Amino acid sequence: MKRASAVLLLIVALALLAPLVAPYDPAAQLDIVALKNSAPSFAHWLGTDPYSRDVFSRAVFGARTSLTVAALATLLATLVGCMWGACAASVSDRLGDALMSVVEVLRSVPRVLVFLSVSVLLGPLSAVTLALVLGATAWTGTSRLVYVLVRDISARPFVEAAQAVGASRWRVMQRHVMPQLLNPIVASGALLLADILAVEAGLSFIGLGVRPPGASWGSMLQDGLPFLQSAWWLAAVPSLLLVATVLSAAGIADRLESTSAGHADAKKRRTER
Amino acid sequence: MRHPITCRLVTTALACVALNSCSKSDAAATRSSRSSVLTISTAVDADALIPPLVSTTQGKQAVDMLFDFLAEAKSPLSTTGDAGFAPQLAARWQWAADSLSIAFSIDPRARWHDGTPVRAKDVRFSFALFTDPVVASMHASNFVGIDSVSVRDSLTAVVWWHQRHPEQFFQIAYNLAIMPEHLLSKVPRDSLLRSAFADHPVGSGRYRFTKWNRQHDLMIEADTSNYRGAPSATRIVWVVAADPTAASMSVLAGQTDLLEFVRGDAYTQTKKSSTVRAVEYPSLDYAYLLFNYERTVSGSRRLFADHALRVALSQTIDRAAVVANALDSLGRVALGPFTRVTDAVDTTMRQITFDTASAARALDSLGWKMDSRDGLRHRAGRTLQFSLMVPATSTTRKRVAVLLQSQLKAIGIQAEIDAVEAQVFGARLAKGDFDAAINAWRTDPSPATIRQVWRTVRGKDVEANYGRYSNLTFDAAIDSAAVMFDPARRRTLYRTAYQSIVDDAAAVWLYEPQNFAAINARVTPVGMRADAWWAALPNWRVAEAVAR
Amino acid sequence: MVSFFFRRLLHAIAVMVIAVTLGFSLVHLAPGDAMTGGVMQAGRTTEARDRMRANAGLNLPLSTQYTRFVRGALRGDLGRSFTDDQPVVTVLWTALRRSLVLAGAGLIAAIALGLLVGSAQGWYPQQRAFRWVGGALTALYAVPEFVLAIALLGTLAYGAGWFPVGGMNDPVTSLLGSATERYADALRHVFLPALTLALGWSAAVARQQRAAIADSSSADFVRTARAKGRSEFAALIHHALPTTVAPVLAVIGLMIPALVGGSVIVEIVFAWPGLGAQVVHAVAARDVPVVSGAIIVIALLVAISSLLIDMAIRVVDPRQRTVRSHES
Repeated sequence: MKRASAVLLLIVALALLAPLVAPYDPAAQLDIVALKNSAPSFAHWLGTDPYSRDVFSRAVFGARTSLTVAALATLLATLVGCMWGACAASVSDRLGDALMSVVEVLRSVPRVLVFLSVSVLLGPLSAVTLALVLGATAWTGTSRLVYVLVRDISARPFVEAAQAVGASRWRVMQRHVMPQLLNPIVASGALLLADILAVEAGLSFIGLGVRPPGASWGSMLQDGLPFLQSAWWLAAVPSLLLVATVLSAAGIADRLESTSAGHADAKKRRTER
Repeated sequence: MRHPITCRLVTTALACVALNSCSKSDAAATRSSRSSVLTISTAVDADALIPPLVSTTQGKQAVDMLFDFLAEAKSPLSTTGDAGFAPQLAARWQWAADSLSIAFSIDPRARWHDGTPVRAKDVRFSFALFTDPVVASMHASNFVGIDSVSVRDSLTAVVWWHQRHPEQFFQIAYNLAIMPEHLLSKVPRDSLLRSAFADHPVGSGRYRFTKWNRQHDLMIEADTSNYRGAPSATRIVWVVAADPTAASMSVLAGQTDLLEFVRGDAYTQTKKSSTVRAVEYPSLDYAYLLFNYERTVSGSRRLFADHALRVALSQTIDRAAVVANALDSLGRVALGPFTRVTDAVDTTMRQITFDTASAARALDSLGWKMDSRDGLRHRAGRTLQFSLMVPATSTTRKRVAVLLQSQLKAIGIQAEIDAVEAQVFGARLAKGDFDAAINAWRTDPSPATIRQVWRTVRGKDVEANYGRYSNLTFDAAIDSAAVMFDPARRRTLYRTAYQSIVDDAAAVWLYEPQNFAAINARVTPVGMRADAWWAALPNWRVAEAVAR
Repeated sequence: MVSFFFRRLLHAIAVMVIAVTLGFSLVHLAPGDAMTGGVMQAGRTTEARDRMRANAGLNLPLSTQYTRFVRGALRGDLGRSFTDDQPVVTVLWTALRRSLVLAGAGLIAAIALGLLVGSAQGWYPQQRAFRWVGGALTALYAVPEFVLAIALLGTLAYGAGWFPVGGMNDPVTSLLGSATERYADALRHVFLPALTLALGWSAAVARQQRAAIADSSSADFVRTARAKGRSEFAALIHHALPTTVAPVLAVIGLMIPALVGGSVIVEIVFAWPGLGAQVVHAVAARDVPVVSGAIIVIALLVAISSLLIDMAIRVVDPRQRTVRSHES
């Protein structure tokens, strides 16, 4: 947990401080003749790419794009998911059931179909649109989690007792249900973040993600693939960053999950990406 | 329920074992069967196998093997007169006294792959098919000036011209692939591609069609009883790779025998390889930054029609550096819409040189003023920006696009790269749906065909002048050159035309690649022509696989 | 059981309605229609295009076109590809068969690996080695499929040269080789992509299996078996494994939409000419009929397999019947 948090914090800090940390402009082609694909050196810690751009600078600015998109999408998905789940859990059984059926149906439409449709309609996406699409397709898991948890907690003796002594519905929610939800929701958020980061990189990798020349880890990987043999650092740097971020986010989620009540269901969720 | 699970485990384990043991014996077994098979790696599949409808080189390669032409171009190619040609489907030919018609005598031994003999009426039919507006062949313009084809007797076809010109023979012999009338006459002309013939073409060439799995592989096999003799390789297979990188990897790994171009990383590795050679052949290609003259760009109607702006753009691009980055030593800066091997080209001709200072001054005086806040130029509230279309299948052009984008940015011009699939690229060029594009053009061996790309067009049909460029000085000089029989005067006219289009900055002439094919050492290529490296493919020798 | 089946069927139909509507709207919302967007039409005159547009029914009211589209889809007619004018169904069926081979191989390998590791972990919770393997699988699960694919490709194919660098088979072998050669060649080609998929997917199966085994190893019937003097291994095979089938099936059911997404990207890295590669190619080429057809086909695939898995779970494990119907 500590190690995972440290890694994640470091990467987030690099992304936030990118303009200060990066030694070069990430888009600057420094010397297209003399400096293309030069190996890691003192001047260029992680080497340069085919356009003589500094890979380290691109990686930290790429982190900005990747993390921003993923964070926005996660936030959106968590908000929508919580609201939907909580609504479904607090209304009548029949309506709640209907709301959750909608979730079940949406959940079985593979996400990739939505991405494909959007790409055909809009072409290359801006970072914000990408975040919206990613978020809009990721909330169903959270909504199920919240639905199950809220119903579960509401059925517990202490909540029933509170209601019996005349506490208002909102107050019961606020005092008894919400605190119990926080941990699992944060855990599922961390997991979503890991998941969305991977999906975003995958989309950029197959050319459906962020429009060039904006760097994201996925597009850096795509650019590096043809040079797998001669300039390994081009693919290795974004891969390692991506894996480190995803693993640490997943690690944090795992730890939070196991300390929370609804972990069984949350774990089940993991298989749904 | 326990059985299925344990069984699955066992089968998977067995499969893993089988995998290891099979791989070695397998290699030995396939070596014998593949010995006389030539495999060609490509990133783009053929688009069609009906000659008038072929637009990709891959399709052209296959079609040239399956179908015959009236005469065969010798290497090196000469486009004037008939001295540069040897008999192919026509055993001999006879010029009319006024040179307005040529009578071709079909080789009586020639047979379609279904056994039917080839006749003069097939020549007439093929001409009709190429030039029928319903077929809408992109090659129809190659036949401009030809009046008709008539049948004198069952083995003699006569081609008639409106007017004589130096390249008459080349025009018909080089462009007209002969197709079987008896199989195609009943197919509706607007749906040729849906016919049975499209899936199983029948020609009279030295190879016959075997099978085609679209986007995967295309195989043809030797027509052993062909009237021109059986070819060397018994089969030729085009293998479609997912992308250019995968295509070059498959040749380097020895899975396939040939890739028509290797660049960059793949070239370096080919040079190092002991089993694969880099074979150079002359190039007729040039690549250029194409402007759409009709388009409203950055809020200005016909922005690129402004000569001063085009000159400024040309001065902005450091072409030497771009070529050095994208092509290493495998290319040169293009001089104009032709290559250094094109007839009549003066390699010391006047050029627009790299000069960002005067480009900046020119842009300033055109009213495009730099705004230091966003580092871009604006005029009347509009940013100077355009989209730059490139085909996603061309690694080199995608690379060049990113380089240009950065150089344009440095002077305050925003270029947005729009990488599209090869087919979309072609379709959008034809429709004029682009601001600017990095296009590559394979020049025709005939210098007169430069008109297809750069001569003024009227009406809807743009031929290959996708940006609707117009330069009347150029038009006049090139038209006179095309019908000029005197070699010295023809040369002067061509030079005038070339200098005029270069001075006009019609496009930014980017690069002229040097072509290297990666070819497995077991294959001995012969007669690789600039216009068609595959021209003599049936004569290439294919030996036993070289041990890896 | 019947009401459950009915409910699941309704659910599947709802998914299909969404997919078909998505597919139809794509065809009509995407820029350019079949007559202007098609590459084949580049040289055609405007009049010819207008005539073809009328023939294709593109001038009819949208509702009529929708009914036509749905009826066509039901008959298995999804139009023709813009790029090569082939029937979309033919294009997709060719690609789908190849994808099923890869996904099937990947799934079988994933289940095998997952069950093996999961059972070992569940049965011997103290064994360090098994815990490490399990941990490694979990880590691999979090690693994006394409990074894993690139890593395997870079090391085992490009680096060591043990495997082909991509594709589904060696074309010459597939066209001319004997049956054994073709089989061996196909195995060599499917190995790395299937391994990539399996490494990613097996963690979920392993996790489920570990939990299930851990539960059942303390269950009465297993203890009875042990008491009767049967070996640990025999007890595992005969009693504990069968009870874990249902939960593992459930996990697979939940994974199906993910399998589709994962295969797409693995197919691309390994140049596997399947549905995923076909669809991405079609998206890039703006080949709208193929994309919309693929959406329908993928949705159908997912709906049917989820339905089958749900039914299978109920057949395998009667306990689920009461649990589920209670829940709903």
